[in-house]
Amino acid sequence: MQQGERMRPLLLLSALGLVAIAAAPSLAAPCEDAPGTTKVYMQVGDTQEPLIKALGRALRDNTPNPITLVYITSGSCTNIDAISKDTPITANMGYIPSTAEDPAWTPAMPPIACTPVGGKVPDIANSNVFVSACNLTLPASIVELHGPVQAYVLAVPEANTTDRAITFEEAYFVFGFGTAGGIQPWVDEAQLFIRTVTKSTLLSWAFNISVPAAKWKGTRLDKSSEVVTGLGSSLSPAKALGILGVEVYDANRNKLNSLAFRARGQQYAYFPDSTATSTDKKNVRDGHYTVWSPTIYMAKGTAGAVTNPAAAYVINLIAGKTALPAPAFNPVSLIVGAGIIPDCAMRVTRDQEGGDLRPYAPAESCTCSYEKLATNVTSCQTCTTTCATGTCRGGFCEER
Amino acid sequence: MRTRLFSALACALASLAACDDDGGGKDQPDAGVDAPVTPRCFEGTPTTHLQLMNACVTAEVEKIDKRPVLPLLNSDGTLPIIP
Repeated sequence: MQQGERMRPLLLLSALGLVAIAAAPSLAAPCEDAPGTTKVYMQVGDTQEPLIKALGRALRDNTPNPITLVYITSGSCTNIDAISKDTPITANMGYIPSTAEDPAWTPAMPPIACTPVGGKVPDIANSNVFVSACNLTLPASIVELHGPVQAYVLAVPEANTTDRAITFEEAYFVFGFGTAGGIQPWVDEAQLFIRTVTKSTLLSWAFNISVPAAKWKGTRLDKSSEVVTGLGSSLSPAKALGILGVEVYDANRNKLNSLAFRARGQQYAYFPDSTATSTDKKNVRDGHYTVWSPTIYMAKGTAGAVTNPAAAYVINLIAGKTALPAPAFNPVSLIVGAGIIPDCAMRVTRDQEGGDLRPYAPAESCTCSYEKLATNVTSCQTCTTTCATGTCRGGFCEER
Repeated sequence: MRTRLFSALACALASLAACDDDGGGKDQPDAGVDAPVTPRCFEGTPTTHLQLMNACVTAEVEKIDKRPVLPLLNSDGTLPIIP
Protein backbone atom coordinates (compact mmCIF):
# COMPACT_ATOMS: atom_id res chain seq x y z
CA MET A 1 0.00 0.00 0.00
CA GLN A 2 1.37 3.40 -0.96
CA GLN A 3 1.72 6.15 1.67
CA GLY A 4 -0.99 8.22 0.01
CA GLU A 5 -3.40 5.30 0.15
CA ARG A 6 -2.63 4.73 3.82
CA MET A 7 -3.21 8.39 4.62
CA ARG A 8 -6.47 8.84 2.70
CA PRO A 9 -8.82 7.30 5.28
CA LEU A 10 -7.09 9.28 8.03
CA LEU A 11 -7.45 12.56 6.22
CA LEU A 12 -11.13 11.88 5.66
CA LEU A 13 -11.75 11.03 9.30
CA SER A 14 -9.62 13.97 10.41
CA ALA A 15 -11.72 16.32 8.33
CA LEU A 16 -14.79 14.98 10.05
CA GLY A 17 -13.22 15.67 13.41
CA LEU A 18 -13.45 12.06 14.45
CA VAL A 19 -9.81 11.23 15.03
CA ALA A 20 -8.18 11.88 18.36
CA ILE A 21 -4.40 11.76 18.45
CA ALA A 22 -4.21 8.59 20.43
CA ALA A 23 -7.20 6.87 18.88
CA ALA A 24 -7.35 4.07 16.37
CA PRO A 25 -3.66 3.10 16.33
CA SER A 26 -4.30 0.45 13.71
CA LEU A 27 -5.25 3.17 11.21
CA ALA A 28 -2.29 5.45 11.80
CA ALA A 29 0.69 5.50 9.46
CA PRO A 30 4.22 5.61 10.86
CA CYS A 31 5.21 9.09 12.03
CA GLU A 32 8.50 8.63 10.16
CA ASP A 33 6.47 8.60 6.94
CA ALA A 34 4.81 11.95 7.68
CA PRO A 35 5.60 14.62 5.08
CA GLY A 36 8.71 16.71 5.48
CA THR A 37 12.35 15.77 5.73
CA THR A 38 12.99 17.45 9.11
CA LYS A 39 10.81 16.28 11.98
CA VAL A 40 10.81 17.36 15.62
CA TYR A 41 9.06 15.11 18.13
CA MET A 42 7.42 16.90 21.06
CA GLN A 43 5.72 15.84 24.28
CA VAL A 44 3.78 18.85 25.60
CA GLY A 45 1.17 19.84 28.15
CA ASP A 46 -2.35 20.09 26.76
CA THR A 47 -2.53 23.82 27.54
CA GLN A 48 0.17 24.32 24.90
CA GLU A 49 -1.60 22.39 22.14
CA PRO A 50 -3.13 25.53 20.56
CA LEU A 51 0.37 27.03 20.20
CA ILE A 52 1.88 23.80 18.89
CA LYS A 53 -0.88 23.46 16.31
CA ALA A 54 -0.47 27.04 15.08
CA LEU A 55 3.31 26.80 15.13
CA GLY A 56 3.18 23.39 13.47
CA ARG A 57 1.23 24.81 10.57
CA ALA A 58 3.53 27.81 10.23
CA LEU A 59 6.63 25.62 10.36
CA ARG A 60 5.29 23.22 7.75
CA ASP A 61 4.79 26.24 5.47
CA ASN A 62 8.05 27.94 6.50
CA THR A 63 10.01 28.04 3.25
CA PRO A 64 13.29 29.22 4.88
CA ASN A 65 13.35 26.20 7.22
CA PRO A 66 10.39 23.80 6.91
CA ILE A 67 9.90 21.52 9.94
CA THR A 68 7.23 18.95 10.73
CA LEU A 69 6.15 19.00 14.37
CA VAL A 70 5.01 15.59 15.59
CA TYR A 71 3.51 15.84 19.06
CA ILE A 72 1.57 14.22 21.86
CA THR A 73 0.03 15.84 24.94
CA SER A 74 0.66 14.65 28.47
CA GLY A 75 1.05 16.04 31.98
CA SER A 76 3.91 18.42 32.72
CA CYS A 77 5.58 16.19 35.31
CA THR A 78 5.23 13.16 33.04
CA ASN A 79 6.91 15.13 30.26
CA ILE A 80 9.84 16.19 32.44
CA ASP A 81 10.32 12.62 33.57
CA ALA A 82 10.14 11.32 29.99
CA ILE A 83 12.89 13.51 28.59
CA SER A 84 15.02 13.01 31.69
CA LYS A 85 14.90 9.23 31.34
CA ASP A 86 14.73 8.93 27.53
CA THR A 87 11.32 7.29 27.85
CA PRO A 88 10.04 6.49 24.35
CA ILE A 89 6.55 7.57 23.26
CA THR A 90 4.56 4.55 22.15
CA ALA A 91 1.02 5.99 21.92
CA ASN A 92 -0.17 7.58 18.71
CA MET A 93 1.09 11.09 18.03
CA GLY A 94 -0.12 13.77 15.60
CA TYR A 95 1.27 16.15 13.03
CA ILE A 96 -0.06 19.21 11.21
CA PRO A 97 -0.65 19.22 7.45
CA SER A 98 0.89 21.98 5.36
CA THR A 99 -1.33 24.42 3.49
CA ALA A 100 -0.52 22.61 0.25
CA GLU A 101 -1.58 19.27 1.73
CA ASP A 102 -4.79 20.49 3.36
CA PRO A 103 -5.70 24.15 2.79
CA ALA A 104 -8.89 23.77 4.85
CA TRP A 105 -7.13 22.64 8.03
CA THR A 106 -7.29 25.02 11.00
CA PRO A 107 -5.92 24.73 14.57
CA ALA A 108 -9.48 24.00 15.69
CA MET A 109 -9.17 20.65 13.95
CA PRO A 110 -7.32 17.61 15.23
CA PRO A 111 -3.86 16.78 13.91
CA ILE A 112 -3.25 13.82 11.64
CA ALA A 113 -2.59 10.74 13.75
CA CYS A 114 0.57 8.72 13.29
CA THR A 115 2.30 5.86 15.08
CA PRO A 116 5.83 6.27 16.47
CA VAL A 117 6.87 2.81 15.34
CA GLY A 118 9.13 1.19 17.91
CA GLY A 119 8.70 4.17 20.24
CA LYS A 120 10.20 7.64 19.91
CA VAL A 121 12.06 9.62 22.57
CA PRO A 122 10.87 13.24 22.36
CA ASP A 123 13.29 15.84 20.99
CA ILE A 124 11.49 18.50 23.04
CA ALA A 125 9.49 18.16 26.24
CA ASN A 126 7.37 20.90 27.73
CA SER A 127 6.27 21.62 31.29
CA ASN A 128 4.03 24.47 32.28
CA VAL A 129 5.27 24.60 35.82
CA PHE A 130 8.79 24.93 37.18
CA VAL A 131 10.63 21.59 37.16
CA SER A 132 11.00 21.80 40.94
CA ALA A 133 7.20 21.86 41.28
CA CYS A 134 7.22 18.22 40.17
CA ASN A 135 9.89 17.30 42.75
CA LEU A 136 12.21 16.49 39.86
CA THR A 137 15.62 17.69 38.76
CA LEU A 138 16.92 17.63 35.23
CA PRO A 139 20.09 15.71 34.34
CA ALA A 140 23.03 17.75 33.08
CA SER A 141 22.37 16.50 29.56
CA ILE A 142 19.05 18.37 29.36
CA VAL A 143 18.86 22.10 28.58
CA GLU A 144 15.95 24.09 30.03
CA LEU A 145 14.65 27.27 28.42
CA HIS A 146 11.73 29.45 29.52
CA GLY A 147 9.03 30.30 27.00
CA PRO A 148 5.83 32.37 27.17
CA VAL A 149 3.85 32.77 30.38
CA GLN A 150 0.86 30.53 31.03
CA ALA A 151 -1.82 31.90 33.36
CA TYR A 152 -4.47 29.81 35.10
CA VAL A 153 -7.99 30.68 36.21
CA LEU A 154 -10.78 29.47 38.43
CA ALA A 155 -13.92 29.30 36.32
CA VAL A 156 -17.64 28.94 37.00
CA PRO A 157 -20.54 28.23 34.64
CA GLU A 158 -21.88 31.26 32.82
CA ALA A 159 -25.15 30.84 34.70
CA ASN A 160 -23.34 31.86 37.88
CA THR A 161 -23.27 35.64 37.68
CA THR A 162 -23.33 36.08 41.46
CA ASP A 163 -19.79 35.05 42.29
CA ARG A 164 -17.16 37.23 40.66
CA ALA A 165 -14.13 36.72 42.92
CA ILE A 166 -12.43 34.24 45.19
CA THR A 167 -9.72 34.87 47.77
CA PHE A 168 -6.63 32.85 48.62
CA GLU A 169 -8.25 31.87 51.90
CA GLU A 170 -11.52 30.77 50.28
CA ALA A 171 -9.65 28.66 47.71
CA TYR A 172 -7.56 27.14 50.54
CA PHE A 173 -10.70 25.97 52.32
CA VAL A 174 -12.64 24.97 49.18
CA PHE A 175 -9.95 22.73 47.72
CA GLY A 176 -8.21 21.75 50.95
CA PHE A 177 -11.29 20.89 53.02
CA GLY A 178 -14.06 20.45 50.46
CA THR A 179 -17.54 20.32 51.93
CA ALA A 180 -16.18 20.68 55.47
CA GLY A 181 -14.63 24.03 54.55
CA GLY A 182 -18.07 25.60 54.47
CA ILE A 183 -17.20 28.20 51.83
CA GLN A 184 -20.43 29.08 50.12
CA PRO A 185 -21.46 28.27 47.47
CA TRP A 186 -18.60 25.84 46.77
CA VAL A 187 -19.48 23.10 49.25
CA ASP A 188 -20.25 20.19 46.89
CA GLU A 189 -17.05 18.25 46.17
CA ALA A 190 -18.66 16.58 43.14
CA GLN A 191 -18.92 20.06 41.61
CA LEU A 192 -15.22 20.85 41.99
CA PHE A 193 -13.66 20.03 38.63
CA ILE A 194 -9.91 19.66 39.08
CA ARG A 195 -7.01 17.91 37.32
CA THR A 196 -4.74 14.99 38.07
CA VAL A 197 -1.57 15.56 40.09
CA THR A 198 0.86 15.70 37.15
CA LYS A 199 -1.00 18.50 35.37
CA SER A 200 0.38 22.02 35.41
CA THR A 201 -3.04 23.56 35.95
CA LEU A 202 -3.44 21.77 39.27
CA LEU A 203 0.20 22.17 40.29
CA SER A 204 0.30 25.89 39.65
CA TRP A 205 -2.91 26.46 41.60
CA ALA A 206 -1.64 24.12 44.35
CA PHE A 207 1.43 26.26 44.92
CA ASN A 208 -0.55 29.50 44.70
CA ILE A 209 -3.15 28.50 47.32
CA SER A 210 -0.86 26.35 49.52
CA VAL A 211 -2.93 23.17 49.08
CA PRO A 212 -0.67 20.18 48.23
CA ALA A 213 -1.65 18.66 44.88
CA ALA A 214 -2.39 15.24 46.34
CA LYS A 215 -4.77 16.66 48.94
CA TRP A 216 -7.17 18.52 46.66
CA LYS A 217 -10.86 17.80 47.03
CA GLY A 218 -12.90 17.42 43.85
CA THR A 219 -13.33 15.38 40.70
CA ARG A 220 -9.95 14.74 39.10
CA LEU A 221 -10.03 14.95 35.31
CA ASP A 222 -7.38 14.12 32.74
CA LYS A 223 -8.13 16.81 30.15
CA SER A 224 -8.91 20.52 30.25
CA SER A 225 -11.78 19.82 27.89
CA GLU A 226 -13.34 17.58 30.55
CA VAL A 227 -13.28 20.46 33.03
CA VAL A 228 -15.01 22.67 30.47
CA THR A 229 -17.63 19.99 29.89
CA GLY A 230 -18.11 19.43 33.63
CA LEU A 231 -18.70 23.10 34.26
CA GLY A 232 -20.78 23.68 31.16
CA SER A 233 -23.09 20.75 31.77
CA SER A 234 -23.34 21.02 35.56
CA LEU A 235 -26.82 20.55 36.98
CA SER A 236 -25.76 22.67 39.96
CA PRO A 237 -24.13 25.62 38.21
CA ALA A 238 -24.20 27.82 41.30
CA LYS A 239 -21.94 25.33 43.12
CA ALA A 240 -19.64 24.40 40.24
CA LEU A 241 -16.02 25.55 40.18
CA GLY A 242 -13.12 24.38 37.99
CA ILE A 243 -9.48 25.08 37.18
CA LEU A 244 -8.32 25.87 33.66
CA GLY A 245 -5.50 27.36 31.64
CA VAL A 246 -6.51 30.90 30.75
CA GLU A 247 -6.35 30.18 27.02
CA VAL A 248 -8.83 27.34 27.46
CA TYR A 249 -11.12 29.67 29.39
CA ASP A 250 -10.72 32.37 26.72
CA ALA A 251 -11.91 29.92 24.08
CA ASN A 252 -14.98 29.09 26.19
CA ARG A 253 -16.05 32.52 27.42
CA ASN A 254 -19.46 31.94 25.90
CA LYS A 255 -20.20 29.24 28.48
CA LEU A 256 -17.94 30.06 31.44
CA ASN A 257 -17.01 33.01 33.66
CA SER A 258 -13.62 33.41 35.31
CA LEU A 259 -13.25 34.57 38.89
CA ALA A 260 -11.03 37.42 40.00
CA PHE A 261 -8.42 36.16 42.47
CA ARG A 262 -7.09 37.89 45.58
CA ALA A 263 -3.71 36.41 46.48
CA ARG A 264 -2.30 36.08 49.98
CA GLY A 265 -1.43 39.55 51.23
CA GLN A 266 -3.30 41.30 48.43
CA GLN A 267 -5.93 43.96 49.10
CA TYR A 268 -8.21 43.36 46.12
CA ALA A 269 -9.09 40.55 43.74
CA TYR A 270 -8.16 40.97 40.08
CA PHE A 271 -8.96 39.19 36.84
CA PRO A 272 -6.07 38.13 34.56
CA ASP A 273 -7.27 40.87 32.23
CA SER A 274 -8.10 44.49 33.09
CA THR A 275 -11.75 43.52 33.39
CA ALA A 276 -13.86 40.39 33.18
CA THR A 277 -14.50 41.02 29.50
CA SER A 278 -11.18 42.35 28.23
CA THR A 279 -8.37 40.25 26.76
CA ASP A 280 -5.21 42.24 27.54
CA LYS A 281 -3.77 40.03 30.35
CA LYS A 282 -2.64 43.30 31.89
CA ASN A 283 -2.88 42.07 35.46
CA VAL A 284 -0.75 39.02 34.70
CA ARG A 285 1.84 41.17 33.01
CA ASP A 286 2.15 43.75 35.81
CA GLY A 287 1.81 41.49 38.89
CA HIS A 288 -1.79 42.06 40.02
CA TYR A 289 -2.82 38.52 39.00
CA THR A 290 -0.40 36.02 40.46
CA VAL A 291 -1.47 32.58 39.21
CA TRP A 292 0.87 31.91 36.33
CA SER A 293 3.99 29.97 35.40
CA PRO A 294 6.57 30.31 32.67
CA THR A 295 6.32 27.55 30.11
CA ILE A 296 9.45 25.38 30.25
CA TYR A 297 10.96 23.75 27.17
CA MET A 298 13.57 21.03 27.54
CA ALA A 299 15.86 19.28 25.07
CA LYS A 300 19.17 17.48 24.98
CA GLY A 301 22.16 19.81 24.98
CA THR A 302 25.14 21.20 26.81
CA ALA A 303 26.02 24.55 28.37
CA GLY A 304 22.59 25.99 27.62
CA ALA A 305 22.73 25.09 23.92
CA VAL A 306 20.31 22.58 22.41
CA THR A 307 22.12 19.91 20.38
CA ASN A 308 19.48 19.14 17.72
CA PRO A 309 19.45 22.21 15.43
CA ALA A 310 15.81 21.74 14.42
CA ALA A 311 14.75 21.43 18.05
CA ALA A 312 16.83 24.52 18.88
CA TYR A 313 15.10 26.43 16.08
CA VAL A 314 11.65 25.51 17.41
CA ILE A 315 12.51 26.39 21.02
CA ASN A 316 14.09 29.70 20.00
CA LEU A 317 10.93 30.67 18.14
CA ILE A 318 8.77 29.83 21.17
CA ALA A 319 11.11 31.52 23.66
CA GLY A 320 11.34 34.73 21.63
CA LYS A 321 15.01 34.29 20.85
CA THR A 322 16.71 34.80 17.52
CA ALA A 323 16.09 31.85 15.19
CA LEU A 324 18.06 31.60 11.95
CA PRO A 325 17.14 31.52 9.16
CA ALA A 326 14.50 34.08 10.04
CA PRO A 327 11.06 32.50 9.80
CA ALA A 328 8.51 33.56 7.22
CA PHE A 329 5.97 34.25 9.99
CA ASN A 330 5.71 36.28 13.20
CA PRO A 331 6.10 33.87 16.16
CA VAL A 332 4.86 36.50 18.64
CA SER A 333 1.59 36.63 16.73
CA LEU A 334 1.21 32.86 17.10
CA ILE A 335 1.97 33.01 20.84
CA VAL A 336 -0.58 35.76 21.42
CA GLY A 337 -3.10 33.94 19.27
CA ALA A 338 -2.68 30.87 21.46
CA GLY A 339 -3.65 32.87 24.55
CA ILE A 340 -0.28 32.87 26.27
CA ILE A 341 1.97 35.83 26.99
CA PRO A 342 5.38 36.32 25.37
CA ASP A 343 8.19 36.96 27.82
CA CYS A 344 8.90 40.30 26.13
CA ALA A 345 5.49 41.62 27.25
CA MET A 346 6.00 40.75 30.93
CA ARG A 347 6.95 43.29 33.61
CA VAL A 348 7.22 40.80 36.48
CA THR A 349 8.93 37.46 36.89
CA ARG A 350 9.42 34.78 39.55
CA ASP A 351 11.95 32.05 40.33
CA GLN A 352 9.79 29.24 41.64
CA GLU A 353 6.24 27.97 41.39
CA GLY A 354 3.90 30.36 43.19
CA GLY A 355 6.94 32.28 44.43
CA ASP A 356 7.29 35.98 45.06
CA LEU A 357 7.10 38.29 42.07
CA ARG A 358 9.79 40.81 41.25
CA PRO A 359 10.07 43.52 38.61
CA TYR A 360 11.28 42.39 35.21
CA ALA A 361 12.53 44.32 32.20
CA PRO A 362 12.96 42.23 29.04
CA ALA A 363 15.88 43.22 26.85
CA GLU A 364 13.57 43.92 23.91
CA SER A 365 10.07 44.94 24.94
CA CYS A 366 7.07 43.90 22.85
CA THR A 367 4.30 45.36 25.05
CA CYS A 368 2.93 47.58 22.26
CA SER A 369 2.85 44.74 19.74
CA TYR A 370 1.31 42.45 22.33
CA GLU A 371 -1.50 44.87 23.19
CA LYS A 372 -2.24 45.47 19.52
CA LEU A 373 -2.33 41.73 18.76
CA ALA A 374 -4.32 40.79 21.87
CA THR A 375 -6.85 43.64 21.89
CA ASN A 376 -6.47 45.35 18.52
CA VAL A 377 -5.85 48.57 20.47
CA THR A 378 -2.69 50.18 21.81
CA SER A 379 -1.89 53.64 23.09
CA CYS A 380 1.68 53.31 21.80
CA GLN A 381 2.95 55.61 19.10
CA THR A 382 3.41 54.07 15.68
CA CYS A 383 6.74 54.40 13.88
CA THR A 384 8.62 53.38 10.79
CA THR A 385 12.29 53.75 11.76
CA THR A 386 12.89 55.87 14.87
CA CYS A 387 11.07 57.10 17.98
CA ALA A 388 11.45 60.21 20.15
CA THR A 389 11.67 57.85 23.12
CA GLY A 390 12.15 54.10 23.11
CA THR A 391 12.86 51.80 20.22
CA CYS A 392 10.95 51.39 16.98
CA ARG A 393 10.09 47.69 16.76
CA GLY A 394 7.30 46.01 14.88
CA GLY A 395 5.86 49.38 13.87
CA PHE A 396 5.51 50.70 17.44
CA CYS A 397 7.65 52.79 19.79
CA GLU A 398 8.45 50.16 22.40
CA GLU A 399 9.84 51.04 25.82
CA ARG A 400 13.17 49.33 25.05
CA MET B 1 1.96 57.73 54.98
CA ARG B 2 4.54 55.26 53.70
CA THR B 3 4.92 53.69 57.15
CA ARG B 4 1.19 53.20 57.45
CA LEU B 5 1.02 51.65 53.99
CA PHE B 6 3.69 49.11 54.76
CA SER B 7 2.03 48.41 58.08
CA ALA B 8 -1.24 47.64 56.35
CA LEU B 9 0.40 45.43 53.76
CA ALA B 10 2.47 43.60 56.36
CA CYS B 11 -0.68 43.04 58.39
CA ALA B 12 -2.43 41.60 55.37
CA LEU B 13 0.44 39.23 54.65
CA ALA B 14 0.98 38.15 58.23
CA SER B 15 -2.53 37.34 59.26
CA LEU B 16 -4.19 36.79 55.89
CA ALA B 17 -7.90 37.56 56.09
CA ALA B 18 -7.78 38.30 59.77
CA CYS B 19 -6.59 41.86 59.24
CA ASP B 20 -9.30 44.35 59.94
CA ASP B 21 -9.63 46.98 57.31
CA ASP B 22 -8.90 50.13 59.23
CA GLY B 23 -10.82 52.14 56.67
CA GLY B 24 -10.18 55.67 55.53
CA GLY B 25 -8.20 54.36 52.57
CA LYS B 26 -7.51 56.24 49.41
CA ASP B 27 -10.74 55.10 47.89
CA GLN B 28 -12.83 55.08 51.03
CA PRO B 29 -14.66 57.87 52.86
CA ASP B 30 -12.89 59.76 55.64
CA ALA B 31 -13.67 58.02 58.93
CA GLY B 32 -12.98 61.11 61.03
CA VAL B 33 -10.27 63.52 62.12
CA ASP B 34 -8.48 61.02 64.32
CA ALA B 35 -8.90 58.02 62.04
CA PRO B 36 -5.72 56.75 60.40
CA VAL B 37 -5.58 57.38 56.67
CA THR B 38 -4.21 54.24 55.09
CA PRO B 39 -4.14 53.90 51.32
CA ARG B 40 -5.10 50.42 50.19
CA CYS B 41 -2.80 50.47 47.21
CA PHE B 42 0.90 51.22 46.78
CA GLU B 43 1.41 54.53 45.04
CA GLY B 44 5.14 54.49 44.28
CA THR B 45 7.22 52.40 41.90
CA PRO B 46 6.70 48.83 43.14
CA THR B 47 9.81 46.79 43.81
CA THR B 48 8.66 43.99 46.12
CA HIS B 49 6.09 41.21 45.81
CA LEU B 50 3.62 42.96 48.10
CA GLN B 51 4.05 46.28 46.37
CA LEU B 52 3.61 44.76 42.91
CA MET B 53 0.38 42.98 43.88
CA ASN B 54 -0.97 46.06 45.64
CA ALA B 55 0.22 48.78 43.27
CA CYS B 56 -2.46 51.37 42.50
CA VAL B 57 -4.22 50.80 39.20
CA THR B 58 -5.99 53.08 36.77
CA ALA B 59 -9.74 53.43 36.75
CA GLU B 60 -9.96 51.14 33.74
CA VAL B 61 -8.80 48.17 35.82
CA GLU B 62 -11.55 46.36 37.72
CA LYS B 63 -10.70 45.46 41.30
CA ILE B 64 -13.02 43.56 43.61
CA ASP B 65 -13.10 44.02 47.38
CA LYS B 66 -14.18 40.73 48.94
CA ARG B 67 -14.27 40.00 52.67
CA PRO B 68 -15.52 36.40 52.85
CA VAL B 69 -16.85 34.43 55.79
CA LEU B 70 -14.35 31.69 56.69
CA PRO B 71 -16.03 29.28 59.14
CA LEU B 72 -12.92 27.18 59.82
CA LEU B 73 -10.48 30.01 60.37
CA ASN B 74 -8.60 29.61 63.64
CA SER B 75 -9.49 32.03 66.40
CA ASP B 76 -6.10 33.69 66.08
CA GLY B 77 -6.72 34.34 62.39
CA THR B 78 -4.39 31.65 61.09
CA LEU B 79 -5.35 28.89 58.68
CA PRO B 80 -5.87 25.36 60.04
CA ILE B 81 -3.66 22.60 58.67
CA ILE B 82 -5.22 20.66 55.80
CA PRO B 83 -6.22 17.17 56.99
